[in-house]
Amino acid sequence: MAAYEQRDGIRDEKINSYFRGDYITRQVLLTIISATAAFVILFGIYGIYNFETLVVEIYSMNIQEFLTALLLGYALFVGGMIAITVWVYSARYKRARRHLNAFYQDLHRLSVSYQKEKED
Amino acid sequence: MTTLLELRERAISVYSQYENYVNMGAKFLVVLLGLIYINSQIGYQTTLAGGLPTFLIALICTLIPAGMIVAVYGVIILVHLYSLALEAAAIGAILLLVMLLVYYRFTPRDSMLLLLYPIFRTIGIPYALPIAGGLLYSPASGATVAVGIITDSFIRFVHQNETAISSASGTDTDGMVSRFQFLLDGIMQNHGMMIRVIAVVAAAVAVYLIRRLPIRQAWIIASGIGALSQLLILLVGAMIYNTDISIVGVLFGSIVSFGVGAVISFFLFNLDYTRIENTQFEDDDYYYYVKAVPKNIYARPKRTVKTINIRRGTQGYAEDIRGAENRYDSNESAAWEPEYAGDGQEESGPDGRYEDAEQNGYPQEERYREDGYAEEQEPESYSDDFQDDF
Repeated sequence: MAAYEQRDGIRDEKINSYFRGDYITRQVLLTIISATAAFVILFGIYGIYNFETLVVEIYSMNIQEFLTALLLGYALFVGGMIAITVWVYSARYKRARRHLNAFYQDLHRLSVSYQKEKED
Repeated sequence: MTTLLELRERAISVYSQYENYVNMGAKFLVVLLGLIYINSQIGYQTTLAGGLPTFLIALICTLIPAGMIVAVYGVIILVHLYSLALEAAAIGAILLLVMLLVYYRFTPRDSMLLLLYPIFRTIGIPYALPIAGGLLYSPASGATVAVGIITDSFIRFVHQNETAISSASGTDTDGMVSRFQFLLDGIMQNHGMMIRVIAVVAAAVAVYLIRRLPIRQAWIIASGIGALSQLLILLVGAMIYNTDISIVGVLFGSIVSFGVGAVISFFLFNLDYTRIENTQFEDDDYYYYVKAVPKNIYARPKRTVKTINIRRGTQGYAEDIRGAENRYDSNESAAWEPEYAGDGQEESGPDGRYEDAEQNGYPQEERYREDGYAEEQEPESYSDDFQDDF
C-alpha cells in the first residue's frame, strides 16, 4: 500500500482529480495539437523528398484536388490519433479509478483493524 | 522443479532485499552500454564520446526516469549527428520529433524496452523485446521497439555512409535538398527496417492477446507464437525484398526470444495446472463460475525452534549453586561437591532444586528472598503457571 501510494498512487490521484469527460477531452485537445504539428513535419518531409516532382507538377496539378487529398490525409491522421487517445486514456482513467478504489478499501480495512486492536 | 522454485524464491528474496541498489545498478549498466553503443556507431563529437563524459552521463541518468533517459539519448544522438553534418542532425531531429509527437505523446511506461534495445541488438536478440513487452506491458510495446528499430536503422545508415554525408556538406540549396533526400532514402528505402517494424508490432500484439486468454500455459504459448510470428514475417520479408536480415540470426534470435519469454513466465506466471479448482458462488446480482489456478510456490521446510527461556531466579540460583562452594566451609564437609545446576541457560531448574539446595544447608526461604520472589508473594500462593515452571 505504501509502495502504491508513493509511486503509482501519485499519478492515479492526479488522474482522479478530473471527471472522466474532462480528462479525456483535455488529452484529445493535446493530441490534436501534437498530431497537427507531426502532420506538418511529415508533410514537410514529403515535400523535400519529392521536391523535384512537386516543382515540375505544381503548375499542372489541380490545386483543389490536392488540397482535398491533403485535408483528407490530415483528417485521417488526426482522427486516428484521437481514436487512439480516447482508447488509451479511457483505459488509464478506468485503471486509475480501479486502483484507487482498491487502495481506499484496503486503507479502510487497515483503519478498522487498528481500531479493533486499540479496543482490545 | 523444486530446486528451480527455490532458486526463484531466493532470487526474489534477494531482489526485494536490495531492490533499490539492484535497480540503480541495472539502470546504470543499461544506460552505460546504450551510450557506448551510440558512441561506437556515431561518436563524432569526440568530447562527448570520451570515457569520462559517458560514465558521468550514465551516472546522472541513473537518477532520472526512463522516459527522461530516452530524451537524453535523443540529445546525444543529435549532438553527434550535428558534428558530422547539419543535414544529418536536421533529419535526426525531425525523426525524433515526429516520434515524440506521435508516440511519446502517450507517455508509455515501457521506455525501458527502448533503453534495452541497443544491448539486445548488439547480442543479436532484439526480437526478445516485443515478446517481453507483450508479456509485461501492452501491445503498444511493439511500437516502442519499432521506435528503437527506426532510430537504430537511421544511426547505422549514417555510420555506413558517413564519408558520403560529411563530404557532401555545403550550403547550396540544391545540394542540401539532395543530401536531405539521400538521408531520407536511408529511412524510406530501408525495407529491412520496415519488415522488422511490422514483425515486432505483430509479435507484441499476438503475445499480448494470447497471454490474456484463459488457457493453460498462456504465457509460454504466447511467447512461442510471438517468436514464430516474428520468424515467419522476417523470413517472408527477407525472401520478398533484398534485405540485410540474416536468416541464421533470425532463427537464433527467435529461439532465444522464446527462452526469454519462458524465463519471464517462470518468474511471473508460474501456475500449477494439476491443482485447478472450479467453484461457483453467487451474490445478489450474479452467479460466479470461477476457475482458480494456484500459483507454484516453493514451500519452505518449517524449522522448529525450541525456545529456551531463562526464568526469573533460575540464573541467580544457578550462579549461587556454582558459587555455593564459597558459602560452605570446605573444612566442615570436605567431601561435599556442589551439584552442577546448569549454566543458567536452561528452561528452568529441575524440579526440586530448591528443595535440594535446602537439603544442602541452604534454606529455601532465603533462596526465594534472594531471587526476589519473597517480596512479591509467598511461595505457597504462586499461580498454577508459575508452579508449572518449577
